Amino acid sequence: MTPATALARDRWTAVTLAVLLVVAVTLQATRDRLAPPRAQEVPSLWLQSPSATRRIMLSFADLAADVYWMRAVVHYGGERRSTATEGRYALLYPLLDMATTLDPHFDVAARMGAIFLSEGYPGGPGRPDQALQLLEKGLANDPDRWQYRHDIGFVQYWWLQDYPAAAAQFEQAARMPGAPPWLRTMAGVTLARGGDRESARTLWRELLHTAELDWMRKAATFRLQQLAALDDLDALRAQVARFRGRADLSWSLLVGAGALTGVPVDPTGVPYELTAEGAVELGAGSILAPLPGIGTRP
Amino acid sequence: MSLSAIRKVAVAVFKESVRDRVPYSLVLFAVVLMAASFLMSRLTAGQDLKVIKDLGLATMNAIGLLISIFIGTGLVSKEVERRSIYSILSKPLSRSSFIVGKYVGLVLTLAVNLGLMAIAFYAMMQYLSWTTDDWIKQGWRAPALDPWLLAPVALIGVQLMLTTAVAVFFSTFSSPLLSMLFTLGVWVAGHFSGDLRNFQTAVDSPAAAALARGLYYVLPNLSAIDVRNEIVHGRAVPWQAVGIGVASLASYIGVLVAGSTLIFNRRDFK
Repeated sequence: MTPATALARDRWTAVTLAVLLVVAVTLQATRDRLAPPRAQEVPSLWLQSPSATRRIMLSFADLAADVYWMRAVVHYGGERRSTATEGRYALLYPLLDMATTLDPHFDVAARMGAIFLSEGYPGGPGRPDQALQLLEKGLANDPDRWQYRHDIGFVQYWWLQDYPAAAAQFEQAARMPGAPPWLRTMAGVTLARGGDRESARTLWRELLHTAELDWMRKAATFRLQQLAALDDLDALRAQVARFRGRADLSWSLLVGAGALTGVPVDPTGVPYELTAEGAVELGAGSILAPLPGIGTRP
Repeated sequence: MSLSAIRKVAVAVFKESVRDRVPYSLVLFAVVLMAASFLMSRLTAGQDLKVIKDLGLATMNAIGLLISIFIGTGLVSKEVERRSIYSILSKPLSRSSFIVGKYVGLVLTLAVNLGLMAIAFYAMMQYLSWTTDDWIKQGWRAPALDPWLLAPVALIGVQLMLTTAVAVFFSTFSSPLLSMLFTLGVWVAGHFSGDLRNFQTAVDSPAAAALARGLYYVLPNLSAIDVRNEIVHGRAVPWQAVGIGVASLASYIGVLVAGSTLIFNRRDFK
């Protein structure tokens, strides 16, 4: 075969290849139009037993833990955006359980997973009981990590409103090696004023200062903004009460009377809503809604 | 057995592995790490460092395992298949030197591969360190460029030395396919040995439990020197136990290489 013939043959092969590729893609698109693929089935775990999976993975258990952690993060993110009315977050706990069994020292999976699990529906599955299970498992694997005790107390404080139990956990955490001194104060404050807004604020503020992950910082900042909004609403309702009964009740009326310097906005910049009946609420579209039902301003 | 003969055979094995494009595994390793680092930051929720360390060490382990099994099991049988064994044995080279040289050559190949992978691994860690904010670094249990990471790399090397010895041992009397299966079997069993020790908790039969316990002591315990988890999490490593584990594996390697030479010395190639 001469070089010219070989070149011509290669060109024809390349053209045929390109044409066939275009045909294959076109056929695939046509097939999808004519017979749309079925909606994605409910995702499932192929391997159900974390301890059996740990054995099967042999020396790759840590890597498998990372894979399950990433699946948990993706699952949580996907379910948060989902509009489904049921079956959401079904795999969250099994995935986190798998990740923390495959790598028993994967504390971030346990601690952050507990935050995911505790979050109320629809932002999360609203399962503080599972969050506690995950944290207890982490504590059993790393009995000297005060952070687990702190997080258990935190779930009991914020999500279960069991203040004596939360205070006991903070107290125990304070006695563990390397624990910060504010934990002891937190234990006292929780026991004395558990449920009030100021103690909740202290808790989130400490979490914000000690958070090792950006996601945790954002969660703490969000909660602090919610608490600030609760304070704002208390103050605004007191102001509005002075003008109740006025037919022209509005923010402009209050501003005109010198009670406010301008239309009040929440910590994210969304104006608060004042109804004709004198009710003050978060503005429509505020990302801070729904606000937690935590205490009143001390 | 002569050291110079062993060296010559070892160098020949190393050169052949380079000709067989074994170093391509390094390219694969680098690609896996780079691809992972770009994808991870989106999916790990701040756990990039842990995931990349885990991935890097696991990839080193997997690539090393593949090299040791695929090349190790063919080291002797390939020479027999090609009939080049006749010309080799007609030279002034003892059979023992041939086997030991083959083993050392493959260990050298693995060591060079592992060393280069470690350099690529540290380069990736350096990149991660440069591109990460300082406040995030404060939350890291162990730094990105943790010198202690060399410990699991070295211990993966020890595990691979044992796997290579097993592969060479089986290749002296079995076909490449069977040798691969046997070697893989020993590697798997080496990671299950903890379960063998506590088999009485899973079965009611005292005889089966005693047999499993016996196997636990006979089989090499590869998981005993696996410190990847401790190093990645910045935890204390029980060095004394690891040292004893390494010494134990060194004894197994000695047994296997000696066994290989014994079998090969008795093999009749006529």
